[in-house]
Amino acid sequence: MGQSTARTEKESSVEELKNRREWWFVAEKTRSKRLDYLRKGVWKKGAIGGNYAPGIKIDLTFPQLFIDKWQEHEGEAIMLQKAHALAHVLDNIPIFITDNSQIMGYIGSAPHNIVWHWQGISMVNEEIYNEEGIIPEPEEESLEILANLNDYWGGRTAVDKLARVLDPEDAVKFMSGAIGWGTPTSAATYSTKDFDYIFKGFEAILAEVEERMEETEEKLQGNPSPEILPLYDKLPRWEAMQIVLEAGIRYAERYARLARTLAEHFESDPERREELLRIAETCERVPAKPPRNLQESLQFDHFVQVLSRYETFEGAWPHRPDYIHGPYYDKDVNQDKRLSKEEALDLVGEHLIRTHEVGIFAPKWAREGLQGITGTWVWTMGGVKPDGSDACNDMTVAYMQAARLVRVSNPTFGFRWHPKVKDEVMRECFECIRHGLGYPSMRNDPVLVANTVHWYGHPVEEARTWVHQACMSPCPTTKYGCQPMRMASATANCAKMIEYALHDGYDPVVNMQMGPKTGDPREFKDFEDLFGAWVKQMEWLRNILVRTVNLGRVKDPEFFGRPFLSAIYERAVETGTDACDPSNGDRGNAWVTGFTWVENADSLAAIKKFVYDEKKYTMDEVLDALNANWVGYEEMRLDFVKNAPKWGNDDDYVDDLMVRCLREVSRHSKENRCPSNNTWPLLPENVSGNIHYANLVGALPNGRRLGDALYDGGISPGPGLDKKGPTAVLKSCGKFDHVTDGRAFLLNQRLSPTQLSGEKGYQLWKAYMKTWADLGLDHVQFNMVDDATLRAAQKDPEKYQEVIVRVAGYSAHFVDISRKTQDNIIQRTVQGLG
Amino acid sequence: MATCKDCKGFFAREDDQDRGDCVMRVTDPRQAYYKAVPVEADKDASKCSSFRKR
Amino acid sequence: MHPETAFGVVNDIQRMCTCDGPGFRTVVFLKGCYLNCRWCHNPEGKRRYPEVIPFVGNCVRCGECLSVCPTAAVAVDDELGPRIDRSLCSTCLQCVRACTHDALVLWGRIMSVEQVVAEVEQDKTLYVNSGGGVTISGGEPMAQPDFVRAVMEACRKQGIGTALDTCGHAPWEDMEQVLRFTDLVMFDIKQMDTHEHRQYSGVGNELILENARRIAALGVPIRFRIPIIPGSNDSRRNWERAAGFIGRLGNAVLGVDLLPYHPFAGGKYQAFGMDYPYPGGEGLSDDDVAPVIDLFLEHVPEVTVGG
Repeated sequence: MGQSTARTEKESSVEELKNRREWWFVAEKTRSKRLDYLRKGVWKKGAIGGNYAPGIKIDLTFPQLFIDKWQEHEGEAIMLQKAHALAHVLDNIPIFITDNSQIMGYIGSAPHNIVWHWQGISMVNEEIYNEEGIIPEPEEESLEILANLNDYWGGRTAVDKLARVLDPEDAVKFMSGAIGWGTPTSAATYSTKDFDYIFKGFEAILAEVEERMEETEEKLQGNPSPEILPLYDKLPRWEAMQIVLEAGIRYAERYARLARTLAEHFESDPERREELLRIAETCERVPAKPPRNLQESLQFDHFVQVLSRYETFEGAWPHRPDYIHGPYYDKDVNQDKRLSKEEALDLVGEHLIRTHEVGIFAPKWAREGLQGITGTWVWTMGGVKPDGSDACNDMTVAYMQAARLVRVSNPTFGFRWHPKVKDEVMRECFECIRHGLGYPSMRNDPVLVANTVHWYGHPVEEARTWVHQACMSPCPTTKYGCQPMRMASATANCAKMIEYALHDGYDPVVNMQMGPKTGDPREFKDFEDLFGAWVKQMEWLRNILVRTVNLGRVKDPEFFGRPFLSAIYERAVETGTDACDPSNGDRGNAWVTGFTWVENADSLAAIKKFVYDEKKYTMDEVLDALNANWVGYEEMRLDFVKNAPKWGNDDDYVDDLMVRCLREVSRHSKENRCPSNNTWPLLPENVSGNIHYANLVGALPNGRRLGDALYDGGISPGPGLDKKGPTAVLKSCGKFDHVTDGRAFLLNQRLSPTQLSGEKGYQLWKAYMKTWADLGLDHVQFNMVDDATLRAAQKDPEKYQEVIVRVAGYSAHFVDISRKTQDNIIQRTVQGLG
Repeated sequence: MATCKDCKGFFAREDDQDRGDCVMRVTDPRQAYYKAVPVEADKDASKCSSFRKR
Repeated sequence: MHPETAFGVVNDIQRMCTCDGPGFRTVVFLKGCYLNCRWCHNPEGKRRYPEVIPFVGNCVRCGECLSVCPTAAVAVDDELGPRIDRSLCSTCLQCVRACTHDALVLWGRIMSVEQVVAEVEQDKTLYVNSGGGVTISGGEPMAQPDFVRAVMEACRKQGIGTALDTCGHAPWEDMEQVLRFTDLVMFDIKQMDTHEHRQYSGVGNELILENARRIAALGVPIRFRIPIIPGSNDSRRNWERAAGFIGRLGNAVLGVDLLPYHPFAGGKYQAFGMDYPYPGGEGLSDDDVAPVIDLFLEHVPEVTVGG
């Protein structure tokens, strides 16, 4: 009796917590003891406001182990040299097994450590000296180790080497930081992975490598000809692959050994002893051989992720875990009944936690932008199989449920919506959104498959395997579709396009001639002259970035070297090349990330209307106001803010300009070519570029001043400027084609908890999704209007003009009402009486 | 001289008795775990703070 | 259409609302009301004609409004911000134009039927996908019956669902005109005792209750919205009478939405520089509302809280 009463009490208190929308406590009360322990045991690695949490330390064991072997093998082919160094790390780095855990593998020698990848840019490496709190004790000793590392690597990092071959003028402009962002090297990168290939097991790949080597050696013994000369370089690459694959197997065996030792000598609880033996068995099996069950497939997957992050800083986590692991879940839970649903959920929840705990050091300016996460890890869910049928499975549901139990900020999910998604799966997506996770973002699968075919010519069956390469851009996970490195290092600060068009190519913030001289705007006859200047600046800005990244890409195998990634890339194994070598059949999947894009349309529209159509102001006056950063022109500025047309209001005046700008870029995207001779479409999104560039973009005709944050994302309208409501935003965004007018387009949508409550909330959301799909948009992500939003609105009212307090019969915009009432409403919102 | 193989936390490898794992229990402010570091059996352990004689 | 009926005075149009009727709705808030409820949550909707209302929090005391007002109707108090003397104000809007800080705002735009319908139409796909439509609210929409009828008729022609959110106090002839184009009526019942009704809302309830009977008799789907106002109508006797009354109205009644008092309006009065005549406490808890729900459930098929 006692037990059933207790359960009822627990259930009723969970119901109450749900009503109050206290989702963290709902999760805490509903998850298993194991997940509760593991979730609370995680050291948070994301930096808040740029600062790491107390206790987080940089791992110095890793670079020391690495450099010992690296120097020993100096002079060997770079891939081989790196393979030796990595193998030494994997054989010697301390490993650990956390209580209650079942999935093994961590990058670093203790749970509170983060790794530092120092092989990218020595300029950035120097910043380590300014870090407080994360240098391990004793500090003096650590600083000496760091200094030695920096001394050795100065001039030897990938970008240092690249800088020597870049055109000097390009280099200076690129390094100014004003026009773009990113590092054109796979030292700071991310890679798609083909698990159909990888799950053959490392032993099978080793056998393939062995066969290739034998074949090649035979050829080298044969008839001398120019054809066999490149083969000499292939042998050390294959050897490098062998070294890391074998080291990867040994790394897993170390965990197996530790688990067995613990089971035999330490563990007294028979249940945990069983678990440890199962862990040992799992780590003896994978990654050497193909996985046979869910624990093995998750473990294999995680080992691969860990190994690739020992090799380099993978800033994103392109992945489709429901698709990869779904068959193993089905076998274990539905067919063999080897696992209960709850046991499977424990494994899935831990998979999220093991991913969440990964920490890689990023310099302060970069982590300030990441807002509490280590990288933008968007896992792809749902979608279709290569034959076009629904790919959602029980694992899709399990990940969504586990996400609500462990509530991690990273990884997040992007859901590939298509018309055949079942209602039960849509409900799971909705529950995650309603629980305030902020994910999954919804992606329009048919549109994005068509888009992937359009821009790169991937065969449609391959396009259907796509994962988020980073936050937004789809990339197939096939032999020739996989992208080995971050071609989007061409990250453009697009607001500079209009800024340069208005300043004859001169950058008034960094004080140098950047773009081409396109003429003094005072001399422009009409709007077409201005637009022509904008097009020239746009082309120039894209050209310099794409040029730099293209060079970085072709030089990467020479300057950096990826033994492990090459060993899991079928096309690299087959050809004895570095995975990043564009000549091995890579089809290309490049895009230019467009930060601060929407400012262009709003600024062009303001000038078109006020200067050329209405002649309310002269170009002279506008330039004077901009040069004065609007100081002394406040009345005029407010006119430009309030009365000039703004994107996102279903207003053709500005929307047509947006479409025109996008079409110019799309034309140019086909002229820019990647090393695989494919296109470079634009992908407007901001991550946090709107904050990063606030002090690098001067005053603009949309009324923005130097220092003001830029618009907050992709093709989302400026904050507070979407005065016509959410459907007007959808309709504006529906005016261009999401297949041919660019790569993908980020859209933020705010919803209030009252809009989402109950069954009605779900039906409404589904109706919204249908409208979104009907309009052919490719992306939408939902932010809940929660107490955090409302608090932000109190601080920054002009950016939250559109937040309406939704209470029946009561009409008020949140920012219009008094502080006390706002506080009261926040309290109500959280308590769920709203 | 005390060496690693004299320690309770040393577990020799089956395939190579000269090498093994140094296994330690660690409790940090958030979680508890077992840690393994590869060591040589004959490594000098006289300065090791976690040395516990077998 | 008669020119006078082609225009209405609109306070606000809010899109993607989910509280005022089924599905996603565009709510058109009209200006002007016959009643004068002490707890009124939308004081900016009371008067029938456009008026300038200050947002005192936005005022920076620059004095621009003073210099442009031709009738000296604006005063700026150092502490309280801008004040408008209604007896002097001619609503010439000079001050609104002069104020760059949104501290003086015009409430009530004169809009044509076409303008309103054009805005409502924007979300048509959302209505179709969610079973939503337009809700005309207020103020009191029945203070502009011809305009409401014209908007609803036009919306219906577009295949857009229509709902009327009314206090019910209007001549039956007007009501009947509007009902011809109404898919759903949301009808307020505040107080069953006519003397109490007069005391708190300025008019007796005879016309209101009679209209409710007639709407139900016509068979137009109707939901009753019942504010629970502590200290005014929150008595068991009132709820019993209301539930009994609604229970006898027959099949047209879809349900009852209980709207517990919340003090949010206080903030709006403060923003407008007005005194809130009904600062009645912190609002009601779930426990306060539970017995009222039970009571109504004995008489009507569905009871919701919060609309």
